[in-house]
Amino acid sequence: MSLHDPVLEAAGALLDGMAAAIRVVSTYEGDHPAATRAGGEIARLIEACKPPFALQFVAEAAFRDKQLIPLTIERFRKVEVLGGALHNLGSQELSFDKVPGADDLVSLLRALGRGTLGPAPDLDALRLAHVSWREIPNLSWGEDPEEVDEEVYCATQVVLALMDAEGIVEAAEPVWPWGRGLSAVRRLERSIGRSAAATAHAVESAPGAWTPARRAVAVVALLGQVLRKLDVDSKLRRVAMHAGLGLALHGYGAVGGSPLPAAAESFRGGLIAMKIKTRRGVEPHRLRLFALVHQLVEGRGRPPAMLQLIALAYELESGRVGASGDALAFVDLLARARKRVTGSPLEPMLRMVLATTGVVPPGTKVVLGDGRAAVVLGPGPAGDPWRPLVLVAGSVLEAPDAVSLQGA
Amino acid sequence: MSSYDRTSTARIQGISHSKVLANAFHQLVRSTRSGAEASLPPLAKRLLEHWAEDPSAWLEIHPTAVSLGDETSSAADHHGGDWMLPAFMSGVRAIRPRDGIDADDVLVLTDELAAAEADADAVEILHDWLWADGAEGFEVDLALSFTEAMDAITAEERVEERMLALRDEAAVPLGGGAEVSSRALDAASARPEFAVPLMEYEDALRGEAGANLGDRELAAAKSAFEHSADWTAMEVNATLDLPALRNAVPAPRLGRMVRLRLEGGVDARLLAQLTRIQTDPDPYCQTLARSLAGPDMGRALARGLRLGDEGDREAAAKYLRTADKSVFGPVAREVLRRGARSVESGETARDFVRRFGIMKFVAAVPPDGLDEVTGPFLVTVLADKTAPPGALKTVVGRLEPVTAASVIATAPKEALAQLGPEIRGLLEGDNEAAVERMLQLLGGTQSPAAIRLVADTLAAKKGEGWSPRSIHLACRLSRNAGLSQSHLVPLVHDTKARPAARTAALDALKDDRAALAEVTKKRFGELFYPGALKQALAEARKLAAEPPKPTRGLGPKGTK
Repeated sequence: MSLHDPVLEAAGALLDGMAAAIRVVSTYEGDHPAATRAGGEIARLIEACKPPFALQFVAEAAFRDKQLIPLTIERFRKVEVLGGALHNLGSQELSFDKVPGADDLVSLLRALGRGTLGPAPDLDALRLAHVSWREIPNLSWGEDPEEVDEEVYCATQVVLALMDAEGIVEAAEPVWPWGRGLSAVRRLERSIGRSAAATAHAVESAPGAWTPARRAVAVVALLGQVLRKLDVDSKLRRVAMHAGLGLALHGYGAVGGSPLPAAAESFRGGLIAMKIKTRRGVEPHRLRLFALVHQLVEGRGRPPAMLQLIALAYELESGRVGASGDALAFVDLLARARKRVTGSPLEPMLRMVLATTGVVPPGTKVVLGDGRAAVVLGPGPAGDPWRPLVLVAGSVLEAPDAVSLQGA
Repeated sequence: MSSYDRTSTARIQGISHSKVLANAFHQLVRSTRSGAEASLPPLAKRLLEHWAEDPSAWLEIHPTAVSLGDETSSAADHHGGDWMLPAFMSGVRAIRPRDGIDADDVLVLTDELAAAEADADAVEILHDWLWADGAEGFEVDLALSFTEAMDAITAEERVEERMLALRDEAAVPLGGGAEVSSRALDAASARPEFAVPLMEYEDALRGEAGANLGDRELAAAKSAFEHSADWTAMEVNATLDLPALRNAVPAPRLGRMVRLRLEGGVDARLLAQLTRIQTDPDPYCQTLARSLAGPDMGRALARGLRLGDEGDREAAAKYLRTADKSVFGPVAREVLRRGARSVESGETARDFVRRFGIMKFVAAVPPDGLDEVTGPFLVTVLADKTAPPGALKTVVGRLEPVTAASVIATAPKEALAQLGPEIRGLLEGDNEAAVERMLQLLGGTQSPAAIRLVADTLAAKKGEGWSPRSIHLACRLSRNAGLSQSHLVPLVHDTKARPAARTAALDALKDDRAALAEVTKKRFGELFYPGALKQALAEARKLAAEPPKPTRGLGPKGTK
């Protein structure tokens, strides 16, 4: 969206006008002509925006229908005022389905004017035609994860990453969509940063089928968890996660996946097709990503440890879905891999995975000692791998005794 | 006016360093934005000089200002500060330099900041670039971008669905009292198709008490994943193999990256690759090889070089044989330093030198690579029976006098015979410290030939270029070796000799009565002797006239 997008520019002009009009209607009471003129001007600006549309005020920024409205320093300050006022009135979104009457707009502007002074009664007391407002739930999800429930935050980020991955699959472009790939990795990185267990649970227990996109997200999440647990340099962790995403999306079919070198060759093709020369050459992340994928294709010499971990993660999710369409749980993938990789170079990598996810990873269905079924949420406080934190009949508790996979 | 002067002046004028730094950064971005190309490199250099005073300081980016600590620079409204808002919208909150930053790194970052615009596309491009470590040389505190802040709204409905699903887990009743979800049933039904050995897995891992790893295993795994040489080798390979990357990564830039990474560790694989680059006639490789020459490369390699493994030593020796001499110098110094550290490291260093070629190593060690620690270690290498004859001689011949003297002083006695000309050269030279060291060495041998060499040199040099201490030492050694008559008496009366040498020779003869009698015989020329010598002769004559004192067992020559 450029600075000169007419739709967003019209929205920007509306913000400028509203900020000015608030001052006018706060100065002139009743049906003073200046106030009426201000309402009329805002009506004109709303019309120029071609309703219906909504304005969102989130984290110091303003959006029109979720598109960022370009800012100047002057407009940024106006957005701060408008967003702050709306927040004080208990809302973050204003919607216009048609152009409201000038009187209604004066009432709205007066309410906003009160909001600029501090917390004020919310807008619900107003009865305005063609204008609506709402509080966006969990507004601080993006900006300040500490204020948001861990489970909600991780689920949000996993969903967003999944949407990014699905978008990449749907677009099916020969060129690797760099920004979208980074976006997916960043979201999972944030989620894991908040809670590895909640992330794993969100990936494992998401509704819907195990599509290639979802399995790709699972690969990225697994790589991120293992490398974070080992405190591997974030730059390298990000490259591995990005590589995992690209390889999985290029390699996985509805069932199974192509061999890793073939997936790497396809992904490398997508990377090469990108316009890789940025303003100042290639960023280190991009160069490392190329290097990893190229090494997978060429297979020269001893494979570095990072490639072995990626190979294991890729291998694990390759076998998630059977010909019947049924999908295995992650613990099943671990059980199969354990048998398959014993004695191979991937065995130490599987140990890393098990040490990270636990032997009964989040999302695993287990049976408690009393016969009740439960879902693993993460490691238990006692550190006993067989007594994890579980969700059972709506309650979260540490498994009172060793859980069993038998019958789960 | 130097930047230091400028900073000092700013302090005198009451402007804090924080403000100077913040303003310098702001000025640089502003100049980039205005296209003042010529002024940029000096501005970048000056900025780094300011930052070098407190490299840990974070420069904070606000929507309309930059600040450092409590100091805010010019607000964005003035002086073209409109780059700050796009940077802030991209998520940039603070920056500071990393070790190894250079002015080019600064220019890359400020160029990107200057080009940023306050719209969604530009904000995301800058955010992606920063997240992908584009700002090399800087640490960047990167928050969510403004567009990412919309995440919550974008995902709203799907998150609701997801949350319901997560909370519904284990909520579907099943006959027999247990509760499992339908999804769990799907997974269970898929197990036979895949032949999942779930029970085997459970039994095995329960026996192993899980799969916990100890701290050492975790640290080893981290180190393997971060293996600097692996990453560097992969990146160089990819760049050399893929034309698209070659076009986008200039060889000097790749060279700088390699150089900076070498300190993190160099292994056989990377060294083999560097060797190939050096010998490849391809123009890109040649440019890359040139950027990998120079003492900086040598120093980086020296810090990262591992010699513990035989393969690493062989690859290092092979690489260094084809490398520029400027690279080899620091490495050789480091090898010798490590070798001197312990018996074990001495063995690996010796093996490396042997693989490299002892004579080649000797020929390539820079003169300043040998000091009082590394020189003696090299002597032990050269004393090795596999060392070619004459190696020690070659080394000594190339060294500065003081170092040569140290090396000779630590050489095995049997090697000294072949070093006669070098020892004589040092004695005849003008370096007082080296002369003194040689005199001590030769005196310590108690070999008549060695002492005669001292006496001959003293006589030939007539004390020129020797310190008073050395002259006294040489005179004492000559007298003790019975060379008073042949060397010291003539020296006392040698009008071409340094007066200090003549006096010292006379002083040494006081305990040798026969020589004293000889030297105190009146000579016509004494009239023209320096005053101090005349006075010393007068005292010597008095002494010669006295009856001999008992020597109390100190030997016939009354050795002192």
